[in-house]
Amino acid sequence: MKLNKAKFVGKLALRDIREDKKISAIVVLMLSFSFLNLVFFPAFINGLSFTFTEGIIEGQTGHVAIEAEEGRLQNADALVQKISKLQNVQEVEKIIETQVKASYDGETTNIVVKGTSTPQFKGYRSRLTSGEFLKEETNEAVAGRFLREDRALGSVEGIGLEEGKNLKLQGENFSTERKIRGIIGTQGGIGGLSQQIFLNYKDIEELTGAENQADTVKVILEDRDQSAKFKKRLQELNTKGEIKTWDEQSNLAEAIEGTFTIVINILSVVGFIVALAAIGVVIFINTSKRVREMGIIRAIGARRKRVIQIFVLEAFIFGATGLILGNLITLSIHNYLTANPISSPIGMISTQLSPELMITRSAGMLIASLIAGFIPAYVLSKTEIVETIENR
Amino acid sequence: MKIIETENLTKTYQMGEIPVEALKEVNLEVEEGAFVSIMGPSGSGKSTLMHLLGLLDNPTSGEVYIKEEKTSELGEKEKAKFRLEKIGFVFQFYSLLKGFESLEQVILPQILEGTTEKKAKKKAQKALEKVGLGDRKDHSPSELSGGQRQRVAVARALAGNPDILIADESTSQLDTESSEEIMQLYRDLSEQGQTVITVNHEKELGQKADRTIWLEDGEIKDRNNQL
Repeated sequence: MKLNKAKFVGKLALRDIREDKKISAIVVLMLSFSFLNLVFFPAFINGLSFTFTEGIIEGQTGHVAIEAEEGRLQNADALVQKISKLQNVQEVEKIIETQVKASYDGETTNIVVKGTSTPQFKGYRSRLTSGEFLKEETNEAVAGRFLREDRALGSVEGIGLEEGKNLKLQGENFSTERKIRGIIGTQGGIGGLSQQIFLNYKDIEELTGAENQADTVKVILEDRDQSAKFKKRLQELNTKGEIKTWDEQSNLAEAIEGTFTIVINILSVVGFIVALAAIGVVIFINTSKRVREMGIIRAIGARRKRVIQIFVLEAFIFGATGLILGNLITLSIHNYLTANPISSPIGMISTQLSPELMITRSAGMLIASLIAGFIPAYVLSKTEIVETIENR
Repeated sequence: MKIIETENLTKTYQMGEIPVEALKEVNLEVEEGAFVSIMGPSGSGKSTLMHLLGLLDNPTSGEVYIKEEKTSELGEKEKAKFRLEKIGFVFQFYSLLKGFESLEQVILPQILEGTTEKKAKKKAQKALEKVGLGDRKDHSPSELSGGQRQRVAVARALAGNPDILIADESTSQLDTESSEEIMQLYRDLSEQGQTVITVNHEKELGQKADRTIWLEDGEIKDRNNQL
């Protein structure tokens, strides 16, 4: 199409948009909310899924974990040092776990005690309910929030434990008391933090006598998408033990992610249909208003395709403007929620907005606009000229 | 030379289940440069005939020849080209596009079909001058009187130098003075060699043409050569 033709097709398309500014503004607003509907809900559900799985990853599985095939991993320090040097590694934690009887104020429960070598890990600190997390070199404990309750939650019997109090721990070969420095975990207990007691690695090493050993070495990466690749790298380095990624370790995490993906797909399809219908109705009303005019344009020599071009361009302008506004609204809400996440029983939720999501939905919205503009324009262009001219 | 010829031109509309014959085997010949007025009562088939001659509609049977070319054999693209290059159409109602100035109205059909803007503007300016609106090229339809708007429509029809100018009751929305001005414009164009076919409701206006054709119930009842 030559520039001057494009100019006139553009002028015809723009003229209607300009002529009825209020209607055009409503249409653009409606389309921008259609876009918000297309992007925001999947982004929010992504955020929900992320909070769920991140709770499991940070509290339980890590992105990749190495477990002993039998007994405990030996020479754990060397393994941690070796892994720490690899690319994309954020934290490497060696963990010793042991089952204890925990008693407080005459109440007792069976619970897992976890000795962690990374008390500085932000995944723990960010999930504190009250108090503080462990300090290195101190012999204190952090208790899961279910211990605070007066009733059983999950596999843990609540013992009404309070921060600052002493908790008695009775293990297989030890018996000791530790002051509770903080309470950890979410209301929903995602990731198991609410159902265990944390001690420093050195503390539990001494208590159990498992010197330089670990039940698990947990690796937190800079990017969770690198998990499978990192596992492969560890295998290439002949790392001893069973290496598993987070989704291999936790069926729940995998199931949650799979379920949310289905929900997102359903929401996306519904969103696209709503957007398509919204744009289609707008363009249909617009074409209905201009049937006679298009008849005149054809009567004075324009071909059918020009009529189609005018309406498709109009739909494109509406779609693109709605898209820009929709992007701005979405990004504003996303930025707000990132700065102020919503507190929920499973943790803090904000939207997870990936460039892929924005690009695919933007492209989808534009395509929907073009289709929605094309169909009524095509139908109109097929109508006999006389019929359109006599439409008053 | 015959510029238009129809052969048993028939148009039947379907009104529900009842077929209504708007035109019945009309045979008509128009010479190049003629000024013809088609007259008749409401529902006599005048507009239907105009639409068929202007290639805006397809006959049920029969044929329209324009410059000896059989138009029923033309496809959509060729018909559009024909309407653009060979036929100028002026409508009964105001047919200008909102939001476009007079010059833009006139150049629009040419631009849409590929004439360069410079060329189209030159032709449009000439056409506007021809209808006496050379000084109104920057006016939008709302700034023009009814008669002036119809003149712009005539200029638009003329800008592509068509072989035939068809005006379907183009004065029916105008007051007497403006109607007479428009008919005089057709007269002047005819004297410059332009073939003009008009439909007129009022006898006095129709009689300004060289030749009147009286249509009734879809049939030609009277052919009168005045000049």
